Amino acid sequence: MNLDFLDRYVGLDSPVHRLDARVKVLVVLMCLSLWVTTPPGRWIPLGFALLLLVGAAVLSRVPLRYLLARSLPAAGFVALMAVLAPFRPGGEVLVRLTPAVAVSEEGARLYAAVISKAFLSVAAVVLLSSTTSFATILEAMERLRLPRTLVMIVSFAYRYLFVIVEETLRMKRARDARLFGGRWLWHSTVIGRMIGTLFLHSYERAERVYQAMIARGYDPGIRPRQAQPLSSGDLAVLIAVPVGVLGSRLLPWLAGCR
Amino acid sequence: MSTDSRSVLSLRGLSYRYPDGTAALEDVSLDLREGERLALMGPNGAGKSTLLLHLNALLDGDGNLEVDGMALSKATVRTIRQKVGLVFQNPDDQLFCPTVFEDVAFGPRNMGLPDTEVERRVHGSLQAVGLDGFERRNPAHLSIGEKKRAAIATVHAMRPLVFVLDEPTGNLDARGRRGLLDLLLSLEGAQIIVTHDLELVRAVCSRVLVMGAGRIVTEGAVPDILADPAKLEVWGLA
Ligand SMILES: Nc1ncnc2c1ncn2[C@@H]1O[C@H](COP(=O)(O)OP(=O)(O)OP(=O)(O)O)[C@@H](O)[C@H]1O
Ligand SMILES: [Mg+2]
Repeated sequence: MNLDFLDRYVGLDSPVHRLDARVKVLVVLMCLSLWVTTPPGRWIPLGFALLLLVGAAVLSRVPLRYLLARSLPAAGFVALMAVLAPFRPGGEVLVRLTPAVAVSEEGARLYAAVISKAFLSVAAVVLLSSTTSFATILEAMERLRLPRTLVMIVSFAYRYLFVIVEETLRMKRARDARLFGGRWLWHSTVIGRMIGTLFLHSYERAERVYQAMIARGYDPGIRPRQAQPLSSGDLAVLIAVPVGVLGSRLLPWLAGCR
Repeated sequence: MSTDSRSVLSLRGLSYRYPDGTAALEDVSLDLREGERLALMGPNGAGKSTLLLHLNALLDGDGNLEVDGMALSKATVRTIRQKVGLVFQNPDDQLFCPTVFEDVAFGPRNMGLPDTEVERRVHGSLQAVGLDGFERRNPAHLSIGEKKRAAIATVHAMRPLVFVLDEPTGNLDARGRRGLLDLLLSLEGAQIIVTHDLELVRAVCSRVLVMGAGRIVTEGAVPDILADPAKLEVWGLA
């Protein structure tokens, strides 16, 4: 079974991989909140975010193509969900489709901002998870005293995702081995039944994997052991990146002060 | 083996029903002495795997479990799980990390060992199972034989007092099987081995416990139990 796409590049060695996981999680969280709250039409902070991401990606040696392939679908999904945004009234009319429906300047700006923010945020998370093993991210979240339930939800989602993907591939293979094909109706009944079996199998497998974790001393009720202190490099990144991102947000204001 | 060696694991009167009502175990008892290798045999569905899950307190049927003189309780369960190293029937259930290193390190990390010791143990255990150099490999891409060894390493790294192995030679080819027998013989610590493999039992174990329909049917020294082909058939072993 091949789940490489989840952590194919976690095993690389780079300054980004070596950075303390707590720093990475914190920096990503701070960046996300600063990016998401950037008002539409302010492109400098988002441009800076892009530069920052590309820089970190190059440093991490995770191929840009891989990051793009993992992040673009999410941006596409958001583009689809927010498809009505450009038609919001406000500002100049850019394109009039019918007398009642028109793309407004403000709407277009909002739409572009939403999509680029979604893309940047997902890319940041993909980069984080390509440079940090999932177990380490969870450990870091716990050490940062993020709410237990949040950590549990994330870890369960990951575990079930992993099992469900694997089970799907297994069943697809079993199905294809028996020359599955043919009429559409038959097709859809089989797929419906497969989905039912899939959830049952996945659930049972996840239970067994969980038992294997418990058997080796995993205890969801116990805080991880004392963490190592942050190095000066870790601290520098922890301070410099958020300050830079904040600075790019405040740029016009800083310029206006003078 | 001297008969007065220390008891490392003792189970008394275990009964268990799965939530769906299946009665899987009825009044099962077993004893294991230090360094002893015990074979647990019986036909499919006899309750062998269910029994093993109890030895690690992953299921909680009625009965008493004592490991290394410690009775199972909320306070001792973590220690007992460290002392009883359970190797699952399907290695895919046991190996869930992106690299072999991470998987073998999982147990020692949960024990709270410092990173240098974790690393030392991972390398030592991989060497012990004949997988040195496999640290960076993805467990999902190993051969079945390698997966079985890796699964044993994940438990070996926790330095258990008792290895509990569920069909360690299942699905292995002849060479893989011989290699695994050598590995079992080289492991320090007592072993409880669930198996259908008579050759394994002869080569590795000293005592056999035969289960059928959730109960212990018979037990004895390997030569005595395996001597009579007619009986083996009755017990569902041949
Ligand atoms: N999760 C479950 N829910 C309900 N019944 C179960 C479950 N797991 C096992 N059983 C039943 O409990 C009985 C004992 O199963 P167990 O897996 O312990 O047998 P086993 O001796 O390990 O067999 P095998 O040699 O096939 O591995 C069987 O009748 C089985 O159907
Ligand atoms: Mg079994």
